[in-house]
Amino acid sequence: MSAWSVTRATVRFYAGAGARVALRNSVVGTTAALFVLLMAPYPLRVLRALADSLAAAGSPPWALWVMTILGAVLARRAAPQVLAGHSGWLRSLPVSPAVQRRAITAALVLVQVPILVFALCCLLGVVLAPGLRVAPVKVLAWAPLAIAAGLTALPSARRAWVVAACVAAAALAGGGTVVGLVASLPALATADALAGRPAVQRRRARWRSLGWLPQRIAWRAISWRALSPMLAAAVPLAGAWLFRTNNDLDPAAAAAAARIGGVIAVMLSLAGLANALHVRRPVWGWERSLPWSSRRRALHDAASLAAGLVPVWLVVVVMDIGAALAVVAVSPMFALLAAAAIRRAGARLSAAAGEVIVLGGLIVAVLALVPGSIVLCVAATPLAVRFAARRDRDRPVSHWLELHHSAEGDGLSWSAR
Amino acid sequence: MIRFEGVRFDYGVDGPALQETDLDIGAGLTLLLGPNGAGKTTLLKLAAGVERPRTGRVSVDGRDLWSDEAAARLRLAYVPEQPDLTPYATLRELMRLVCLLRGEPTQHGTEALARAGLEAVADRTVRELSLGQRRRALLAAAFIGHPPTLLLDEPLEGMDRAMRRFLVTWVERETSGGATVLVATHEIEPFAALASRAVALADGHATLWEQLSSVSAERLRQLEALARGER
Repeated sequence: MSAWSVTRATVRFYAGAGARVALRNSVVGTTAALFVLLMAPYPLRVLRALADSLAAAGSPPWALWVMTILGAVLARRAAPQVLAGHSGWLRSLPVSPAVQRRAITAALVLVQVPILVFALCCLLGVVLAPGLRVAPVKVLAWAPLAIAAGLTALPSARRAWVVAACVAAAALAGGGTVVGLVASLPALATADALAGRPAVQRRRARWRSLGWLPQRIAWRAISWRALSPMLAAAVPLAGAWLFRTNNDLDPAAAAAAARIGGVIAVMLSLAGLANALHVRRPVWGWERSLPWSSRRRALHDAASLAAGLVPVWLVVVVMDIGAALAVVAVSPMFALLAAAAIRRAGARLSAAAGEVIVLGGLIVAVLALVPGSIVLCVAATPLAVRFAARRDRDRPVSHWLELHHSAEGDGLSWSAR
Repeated sequence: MIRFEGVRFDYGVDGPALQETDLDIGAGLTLLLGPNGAGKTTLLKLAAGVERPRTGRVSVDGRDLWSDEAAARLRLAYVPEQPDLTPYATLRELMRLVCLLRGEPTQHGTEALARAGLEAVADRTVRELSLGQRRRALLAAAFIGHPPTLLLDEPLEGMDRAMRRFLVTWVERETSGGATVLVATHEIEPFAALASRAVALADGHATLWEQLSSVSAERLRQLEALARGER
């Protein structure tokens, strides 16, 4: 069997898996695209803006970046399906690691086809629309961008380096210049070479939805004790409201007042809720022996705490919708910091609230001084997830200070004995 | 198979609770023996992924407890001596949580509660239960999904006679079915005949004893000596 036949057979094998995932993605993608377009007040304008950004000369390439990020997400999600069986018998076949890697990459590019089809439809809009000029170099950049997105999902021992090379390739290709496009090719080749032999992915425990079960348990423990943090949160909200009502402010200043008041309310609310959750439902040791990760436990706690922020969000919505969006956007990070604080609360006299107020206060100060730092806050949310998960993993279970755990309502709790 | 590789643990005060330990605990019943404070519960907590070792790694059936958290824990059930369940969850909710995490139909939770004799109190919150009922609830959670690794800390303590008989029979059935069962206990006699090996703990040092006498009286004496910290 010639090398070409082997390559063709391998590519066809993996492409089959990629095509099946692409079909599934196309259903979800079409539904999502239709939903977004139909919900927009002027769908044709949205399409035109997309087409401009994707293919027209001289327009900012934001849609290209969105397309690449979406492609990388799709490829990442599709990787387990494409690689099913890769760790077993398939590795015994006489196929070189390079051929196997490229075949997998091709399949991971194929799963992005629904996005490329959507982009083509937009391009058609550009061609048909009068007065617009297509930049071929921008359209040609789609290919390296899709390959870069696919390569980021490739399992590899040097994944961080591969991703760095892909980001460089995407940055060059998305620049919209011929030089950038050509320069992106060696960057992609470097990413491919760095990837090496496709790593064997260990099968992870299947993600099973728990519904709202952990939140229900947490809120049963908190119950009416949520009122006190809400009262604390009402103070900055009332301050912002009065400031806006009694002063003749320009729209930007009025929005800033609502935003700062809202963020302070989020911080105070979470500080109180975290303390209530820590006392009434302390993080229990036995749950760590159950098959869920520390990251998931921290996320569930953050979700439970964030549920208590709904009244704050509603009040800020009434004041200023833009400010409300900013407050909602930073809430996950605050909630994760509160979930992390619960995991150290037993060893601190200030319990969880102290840490939330100190860390949160610093963030609020930065947000007040530099409004653009909201973007940084949102971008730092994954880091907050890691921080909370690490806190959960490193939490000493058996040697905690019982002084700070109230036996309230539980006659058999540890501290009651 | 539970594997400890260079595991060391301390509580941040005094000396290490567990000195650097290397152990391979295979299928069958392993008794964890030693005087009070020897580190039996600590070793079980490390095996269950409740405590994280300061150094070294613990794996269950080849999966590291701290780098492959969910998958490794899918293979084990832990019944602690102190039933540290969250006070505001109902038993039904707890069983549902365990079923969902182990990928079992939620009906199995109800069945497990019935097996542990807790069906009548299924809708009570944990704080409304007695200590014995809480321990039974943890046992019920261990029944769900038949995990092949069972970690039991003083399982007979606080149990009535019927439940003690049931527990010993259950351990016998699980070990004969190929499960790895690790039991920390001061009550050696009910488990002596079933034990394949023992881990003796003294001053934070763990020693594996694979050669147990086949003569029952001698085996019991041997195990009791290990429990007193004698070698």
